Formats: sequence, structure tokens, C-alpha cells
Amino acid sequence: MAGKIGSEPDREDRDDKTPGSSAEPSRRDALGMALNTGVALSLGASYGVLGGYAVTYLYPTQRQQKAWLFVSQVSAIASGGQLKFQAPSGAAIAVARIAEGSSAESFIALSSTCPHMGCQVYWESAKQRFFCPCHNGVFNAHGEGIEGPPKGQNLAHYPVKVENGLLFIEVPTESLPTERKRMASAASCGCDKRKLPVLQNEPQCQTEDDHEQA
Amino acid sequence: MSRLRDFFSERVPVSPETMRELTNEPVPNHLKRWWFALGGTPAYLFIIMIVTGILLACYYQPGPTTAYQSVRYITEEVAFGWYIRSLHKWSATFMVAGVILHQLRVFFTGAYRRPRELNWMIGMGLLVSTLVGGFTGYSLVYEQLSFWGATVASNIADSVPVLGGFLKRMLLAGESYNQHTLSRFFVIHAALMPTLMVLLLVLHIAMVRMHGVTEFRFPDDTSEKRYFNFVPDHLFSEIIVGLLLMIVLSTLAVALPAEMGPMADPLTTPEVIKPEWYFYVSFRWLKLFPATVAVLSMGFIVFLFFLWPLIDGLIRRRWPGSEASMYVGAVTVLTIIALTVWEAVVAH
Ligand code: HEM
Ligand code: FES
Repeated sequence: MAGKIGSEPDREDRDDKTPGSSAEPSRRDALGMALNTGVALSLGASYGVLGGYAVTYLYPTQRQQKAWLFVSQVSAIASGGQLKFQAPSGAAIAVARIAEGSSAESFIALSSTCPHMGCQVYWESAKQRFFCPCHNGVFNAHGEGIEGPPKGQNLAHYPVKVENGLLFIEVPTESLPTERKRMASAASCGCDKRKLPVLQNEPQCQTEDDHEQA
Repeated sequence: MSRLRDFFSERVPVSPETMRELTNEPVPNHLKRWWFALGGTPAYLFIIMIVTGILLACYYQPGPTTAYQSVRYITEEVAFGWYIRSLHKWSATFMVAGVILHQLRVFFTGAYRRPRELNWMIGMGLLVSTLVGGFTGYSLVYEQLSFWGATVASNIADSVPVLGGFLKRMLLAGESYNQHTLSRFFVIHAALMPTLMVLLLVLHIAMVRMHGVTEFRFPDDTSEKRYFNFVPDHLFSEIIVGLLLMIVLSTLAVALPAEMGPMADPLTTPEVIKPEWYFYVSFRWLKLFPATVAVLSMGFIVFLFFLWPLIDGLIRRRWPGSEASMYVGAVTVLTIIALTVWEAVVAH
């Protein structure tokens, strides 16, 4: 032990006011104890409330924004044919017509997000399969997981619907900036190609200089 | 001179003897061996990380539109930015390696045994926070690998039954990676983990001081005395280690500076994707088993190691003198090395 630091007064020299700590407990002591406990518990409760608010504060409430977007006329896709739809995120979604019928069931739009851990799969035409580079997931042309950890899980389908002979797809409308969108919006608003990527979908122009001033 | 001494002894009323006793513990002779003094290395690296990290944070801007550009700015434009960033990065690598080596030493010398079980658990906390620090730091750069690593990690959280979805949304600030995600990673990386690690380190070192280190005596140790002084003898050794590390880190910073991979593209996962070397094991594990099995088994193994001193205690109560821990340790280490090498040599 380091021993006493400086010169501390002796124990006997302390005015012991804490209820319950003196030799003969009294009713006043009991009351005082209850009061102290109550105050301590209230402090605990107020921290608890703060903690609860903190979790609520951190918990995201905004759901992903989605919208139904027009793809094409039903008649424009032959049975067995497919069409590349450009989603607002910049992703190219293959919308395929798998049957003659003109209801929504005749169309599928496969998501390229791997159901295992969310990486993007890509099509290997030589092997007629989708491959996920993250953990070697393999899907057949219909998006059914056939090998690797996502075996038995399928690539999700984007919801599609048909109204008045027109085909619609429900896709997320907001997304992170990507290099491709960056290029696209750079081209569309005619500013420097080295400008920063932009959020959302609208073409904004922000240049490198903007960034450095920020 | 003596007036100065009086000035301080009045204002810091601790007797010189107490001071000496507090700072100058007797160090057992076996700590002259580097292998046994390894704990000091990550502690030293931690200080470098804090200093370089604070410097990086002066220019770094979290957020998907700014992060990559700001790291590029640090690397290519700020004076000595490349050096600060490379030191940070290499210290992180060395720190992970140092923590692992230190832990191996403790494990294979049985230094976690009674009464030091709690300190082993604190050590496991330090290991996990170091790994979390390394992972979140890597995510901050917003390169392709940072992005896909973070995506996979959040889905690892998602694979935990019941709580998974909640954990994932708390981590990502949404259903998927979005414009608020990087701020969270930055807060975890630069505020939460360092604070937690400082607390754990203080506890860790306090426990070492309270128990002293486990003493070993080697047959070739012929000195008469069993101890040497922390100050100045051990302190000087640590200063030498510090200088060596500074030289090695600076050499690496010049020869292999931290670079920039391609910027994150949420639409395309690179065809070959690898995490940092210390996550090769878990990466390979994920390829071998379905998601939930892989994640729960990994968590369970880490938990077993957390509790190992207690398990070992039970085993040795039943079979005194049992060296079961040696076999468990050897099998674990070999498995980890095998999975790491496997992941290192193949593309997929
Ligand atoms: C305690 C252990 C720490 C570890 C293991 C660690 C690890 C890392 C790693 C691996 C990176 C990625 C490096 C790169 O690719 O450039 C990184 C980046 C970063 N770290 Fe840390 N770090 C630690 C502490 C800190 C602290 C205390 C701060 C700030 C107060 C900090 C701030 C940053 C910043 C701003 C970056 C991004 C800039 C960059 O990547 O160059 N770090 N960290
Ligand atoms: S994310 Fe596709 S296999 Fe793991």
C-alpha cells in the first residue's frame, strides 16, 4: 500500500451524517436511507431515459425510398426476350419476359445483390451462371443459389406490375454516388470530369475547388 | 533547485519513497527476453496511432462524397500527409501482430492462470477492440474494398439470430450502406474504440502491477539476483524497442507507403476481394459454412477463448497438471495459420 497521502484527519474526527451508518439506527435514519436510495434510483432512471433516447436517436427511422418506375410497353418485349432497365441508382437491371402472358407473372427482374452478405453478383456467360466474388456464391440463370454459402437462397426479384399494357418496376430511388453516375452527371451538366460524385439522383455540379473550400 | 523541489513537493504531496515504489517495480529476470516483454510493443504503437490518428482527423471528412477525396488529399497534397497516413497504417498492422504475439506468449506460458484470469479477459477485450479499430479504419478510406468489407460486416451482424437486424441498422444507420454510414464508422474508429482501449489498457496494466507478472526462471539464467529495476533498466530497453519500431515504421512508410485503391462503387463488387490479412481466417470461414452457422460458430469460438482461463481451471482441477491447453492452443494456431494461408494463396 502506498499509505496515507498527505495528512488525512482520523476517522474519529469525521462528522458522520450518512443515515444508517451510526451505531444505533433510528426511524429518522431509516427515512433518510429511503430518501437517499430514492434519489440514487432517480438518477439511475434519468440516465436510463437518456440511454433509451440515445438508442432511439441512433436507430434509423427512414425506410429506403422506393418508387414504381415505367419500364416499357409489355408488347415491346418478346417472350423469352429481355431488356436492360437503368435504375436511378445507375444499376442495369435485366427485365426478362419468361412467358407469353401479359400479366406481371410473365416478367422477372433479378436483383444482382447476393442474398448471402450483400455483394454484387456478375453474369459469367461462358458458364451461364451468376458468380458472387465475395464467398464464391453461384446462381443459375434463374437466380437460384446452387453452390457456395448462398446455396438454397435465391437472388431477389424486383417487384413488377402491369397496368394498361405498361410494365412497371419498383426500385429504390436514392442511392450512393458512384463513379458511373458521376461521369453521367458530369456529362449532363458539362462540368469537369474530376468533380465530386453527387448524392441522390439529380445532376448537381460540384467541382474539386468547391470541395477544398468546404 | 531545492526551491523548485520544495515547490513541487508541497503541491504534489507524495513522498519520494512512495513515488519510487509506485514507478519502480522489480522486474523478474525473464523479462530480459523480448518474447516476454511483448506487451509493451502494442502499448507503444497505440500511442503512435493516437498521435497520427488525431493528425489524420484534421483533414479526413467522413461521408461518401468526401471521404475518398479527403484521404487522397492527405496522401497526395498535404505536406507529409503520406508519411502520417503510412505510419498510421503500418502501426495498425504491427499493432494487430503485436497483440497476437503477446497473447500467444501469455497463452503458451500459462500466464493467464489463477489469479490472472480477469486480466486475460481484459486482454481479449483489447484484442477485439484492436480488430474492430483496424476494420473500421480500413472502411474509412471508402475504396472498393473498404465499401464491400463494410457491407459484408454489416451482413455478418445481420446473420445473428433475433438481434441481427437491429445490429445491422444501428451499424449502417439504415437498411443498407448510405450517406450516414461513414460517420458512424468514424465515430467508432476515432472516438469509441480509442476510449474503450484506454480504459482497458489502464485496467490491464493496473492488474499486471497488482499481481506482478508470472515468474519464470530459465536454466541458463545464472545471475544471483532474481529481479532487475524497471527504472531505468527496463525503461531503457523499451526506449530501444521504441526507436527500432520508429525506424522500421518509417522505412516501411517510405518503401511501401499507404496507397489508394479504386473508389467505392456500390454497383460492382471487384472480382477479387480480400480483407486485411488478419481477417483472412474469418473470410475463409464464411466461405465454408452457411451464414448463420459461420457467424455463430465464430462468435462461440471467441467466447470460449474469452473464458479459457476458467475452462482451463476446471480441466486442471479434474486432472491436475494437465497440459490440455497446449493441445488446444496448438490446434487453434495451426487451424488459423492453415485457413489464413489458404485464403492468401487462392483468388477465390
Ligand atoms: C487504436 C488503434 C487504431 C487502429 C488499430 C487504427 C487503424 C486504422 C486503419 C487500419 C486505418 C486505415 C488506414 C489506411 O488505409 O490509410 C485507419 C485510418 C484512420 N484512422 Fe485509425 N486506428 C487507430 C486509432 C485512431 C485514432 C485514435 C484516430 C483519431 C483520433 C484515428 C483516425 C483515423 C483516420 C482519420 C483514418 C482515415 C484516414 C486514412 O485512412 O488514412 N485512428 N486507422
Ligand atoms: S456475399 Fe455473395 S457469397 Fe457471400
